[in-house]
Amino acid sequence: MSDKKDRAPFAKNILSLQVDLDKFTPATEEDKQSFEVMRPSSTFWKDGFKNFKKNKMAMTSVIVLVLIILAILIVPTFVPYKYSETIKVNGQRDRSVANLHPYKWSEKEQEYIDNGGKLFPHVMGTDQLGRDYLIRVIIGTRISLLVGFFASLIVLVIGLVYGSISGFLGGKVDLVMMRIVDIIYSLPDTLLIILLSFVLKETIGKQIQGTILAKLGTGMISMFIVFGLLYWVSMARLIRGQILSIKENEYVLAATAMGASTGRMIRKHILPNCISVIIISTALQIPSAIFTESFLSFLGLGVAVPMPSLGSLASDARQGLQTYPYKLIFPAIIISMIVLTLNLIGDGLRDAFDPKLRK
Amino acid sequence: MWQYFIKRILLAIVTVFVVIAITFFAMNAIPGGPFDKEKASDPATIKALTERYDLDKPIGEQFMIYLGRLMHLDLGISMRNGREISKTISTKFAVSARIGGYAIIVSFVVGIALGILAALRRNKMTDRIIIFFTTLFQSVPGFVMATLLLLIFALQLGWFHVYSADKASLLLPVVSLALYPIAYITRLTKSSMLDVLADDYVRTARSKGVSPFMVVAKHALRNAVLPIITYLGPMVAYTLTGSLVVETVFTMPGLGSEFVQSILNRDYTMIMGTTIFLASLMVVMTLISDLIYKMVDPRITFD
Amino acid sequence: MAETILEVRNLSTSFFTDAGEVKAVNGISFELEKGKVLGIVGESGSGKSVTAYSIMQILSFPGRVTGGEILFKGTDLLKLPDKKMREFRGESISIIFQDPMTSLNPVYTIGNQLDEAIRLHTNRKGAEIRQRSLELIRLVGINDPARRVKQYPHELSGGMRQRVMIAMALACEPDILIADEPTTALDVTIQAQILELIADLQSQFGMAVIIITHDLGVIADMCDEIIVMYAGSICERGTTDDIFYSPKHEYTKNLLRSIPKSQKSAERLVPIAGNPIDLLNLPEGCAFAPRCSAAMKICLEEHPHEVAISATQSAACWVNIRDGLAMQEEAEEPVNADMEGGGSQ
Repeated sequence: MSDKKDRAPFAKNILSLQVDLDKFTPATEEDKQSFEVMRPSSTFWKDGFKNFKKNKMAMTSVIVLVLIILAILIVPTFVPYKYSETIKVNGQRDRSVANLHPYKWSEKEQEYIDNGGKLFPHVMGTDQLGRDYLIRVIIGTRISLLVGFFASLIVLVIGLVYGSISGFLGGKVDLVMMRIVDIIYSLPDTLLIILLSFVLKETIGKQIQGTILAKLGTGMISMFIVFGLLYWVSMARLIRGQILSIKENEYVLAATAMGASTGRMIRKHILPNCISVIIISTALQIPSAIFTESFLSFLGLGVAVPMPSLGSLASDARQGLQTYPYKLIFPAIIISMIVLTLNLIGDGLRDAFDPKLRK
Repeated sequence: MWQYFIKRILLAIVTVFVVIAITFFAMNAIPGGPFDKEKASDPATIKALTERYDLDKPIGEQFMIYLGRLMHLDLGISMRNGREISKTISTKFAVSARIGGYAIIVSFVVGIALGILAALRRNKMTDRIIIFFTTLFQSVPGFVMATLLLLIFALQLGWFHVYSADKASLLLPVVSLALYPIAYITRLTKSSMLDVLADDYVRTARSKGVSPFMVVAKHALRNAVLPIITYLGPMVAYTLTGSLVVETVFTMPGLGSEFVQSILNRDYTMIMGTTIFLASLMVVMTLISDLIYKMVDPRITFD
Repeated sequence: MAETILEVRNLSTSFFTDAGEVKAVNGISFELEKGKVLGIVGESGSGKSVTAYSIMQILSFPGRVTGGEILFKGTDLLKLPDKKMREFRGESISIIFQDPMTSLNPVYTIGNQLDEAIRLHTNRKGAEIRQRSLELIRLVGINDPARRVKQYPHELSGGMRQRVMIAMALACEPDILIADEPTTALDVTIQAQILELIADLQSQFGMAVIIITHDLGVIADMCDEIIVMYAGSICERGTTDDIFYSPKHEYTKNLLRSIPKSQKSAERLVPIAGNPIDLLNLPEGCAFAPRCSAAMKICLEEHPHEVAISATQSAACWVNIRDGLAMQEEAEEPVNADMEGGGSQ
């Protein structure tokens, strides 16, 4: 063997190999295919949800959120107090029922119990007007969640419609519509909400008194109005972007003349992206809406008294903060948890469905 | 580039105009006009207002007059106390600007530092702790944070005095205002830093034998921090709206609490003046931060 | 005077991702002699770039060398602490990358970046550094160095940027220059210029060069030796003539068939059948077997050994082993009594 020294370390001497000569028969197609390991293909949704489930923080958040929702649905059924009702014992007003610490009784209530009566405990005490705090916190949570949900819904619908129209029509219409979006986007939203809620209170405040709208308060109404006027722009931009990419894809597909596959392409690839963008965007919009609502309520511009909101409860708690810190702590914890869980779920959804992150 | 500048400035001007228009017409939609004889404090003020505001003229003309006055930075007088609104704004804003200014500086410095730290110690304990706290602070609403801090540090622990004007009392408001932005900036910086560290030129720097410290400090940092600058505008906007709450909770005599007060007092002219001032400030700051970013990013500069 | 300056022995590198261990390089070995040009050819995912990064030890995050030795002038680079390795980087071994636009820092002038390379590894100070930078710019064929040195990367054309990269790499006259896909991101006309530049500088400075590419055309003229890689292993190695005129590995043959030879030829291009390899799930046998038309059962089951085909050429392929053994038998048959050194290869 005249191997050059260079090759020696790398190449073996054929004779030194132990080989099973039987195996030198050609390999068939089946042989080859059994060795090809294909990654199991699954749909966009399956993949996404699988990813989401792996995210412990997001899953925990879902559980916590569900628990909170269950609580606010179930608890009021067995707590006998109403959120606007000043507690009376035997029909008598009782001044000492105000500002009770959790699980304490007022004088008259204590009397009542000593005489054999049964009263449901004030799990979170009472507020400065003698109303049971637990029920107020629960109702406040309901309000916050409902407001967040509906505000996001409004944003979704308007943004979807506006963005779709702008994207489909294209051309000059699109240009003008997007300029409007640019201007609206630059407007300072919180300031305008405050301004408009104030104006609405002054203008239609008297007219809606006595109706259900009055219960919500002009603050809430104006918040919905302003949400409808201002907050949909990001969603509109997103949707328009998606529509534009669909349009682009259509041309490409037409060019390659794939015929029936176009529909499949749209369904399998583009629509899922579109919908996932919508879901994620909405999921992250809800905590933002709740934030805004409680911010307004905190300043006294949100829900109308006596309707509680987590924000207004926190604001009211400032009076006598040192002696009754729990009045702040309960709503604070709940609102933080709601926003936190929703944020984590939104983040989790985004990470799970982002096609760029798929391995 | 100039094209972009002009477009952007035009947009800002239009936006400010829209804000002024909305504010003006909204306030004038209130029945009884911007002032109500029952609501104004005394006849002297009423007289002054009537003269000042030409309220007998048609609304369109009133608007033009108002605009004209704005050009001269004349925002009118307060309905509550008859004082020049522009004077009140400048005095009160000085307080807000101090608190806000400190908050912004603290947020950027701490946020960027933590973000870099989290990126470098990715997936280790330090990173996890940072992620935990940033998620937390991004979810607790500002007013909750402010009130909690008030409760814990001022009232329970008595470390700080409330209702006082000394320097130390600025600490709590600044911290309450800064916590959310710190969380946001930290996340932003971390993600930007991670992106940059994966970029090709960082690999080139390493292949030249540059030390790890210099790779981060010289090559990565500048590129990573660039996108953070775009956050300056929204940061100012957030600080301004946040100041409404923070100044109220900590009873600071700033423009934020003044604004809230004027709403509760129905001081229409004050509300108008303050809204326009704050809104314009926000728009201008966002504009400036956008323009600075464009100027500083050399890749975009010469396209 | 065949002095070996780089010996890679059994190098294995993997990326430990969330999805599993991606075995990018699986036990490859090769040598580089002073002043010679080595070409490493393979498609994306073959592990050629990762090999280069392993040598320089600039693997990014989930990547790690999992085995083997890299001996540069006798020192095992893999055993060095990072501080020591830094002394080699940019000074003894340099690398230029595929995309010069993203490989240069956009916020610093090219003068700044060149100066840095010089400052790190030489003792020059002050004005000397800038002088050297200007020299280097001139060396790589860029006109008007005084003006260029103050410019930013985006102000230069693609070809010029690559020249700057080369200048940075040569700042300290390294022993080895690694060029990772140096022309892939450039226009065809510029490609030839850059390759010529590299060849010129190579003969000028007498450095060893490793050219990594997926384009066989690029290395046809330049290389003394070529290594063909697939899925992290070496399929075949040999001189340029060996590889181009008598390829022995099916993969190499396929590669050659799939390059357009000339515009005149009306031949159909023959793409390589099958799917690209999944590095997360490498098969037991030859990684190319599922796509190989000459595959045998053993190819799917056992990884082929690399065997010598000639003095300069070797291939890791069972077909070659089978043919080799067959030739062996033939040669031995008529000469039963004479068992000595029969097999002429």
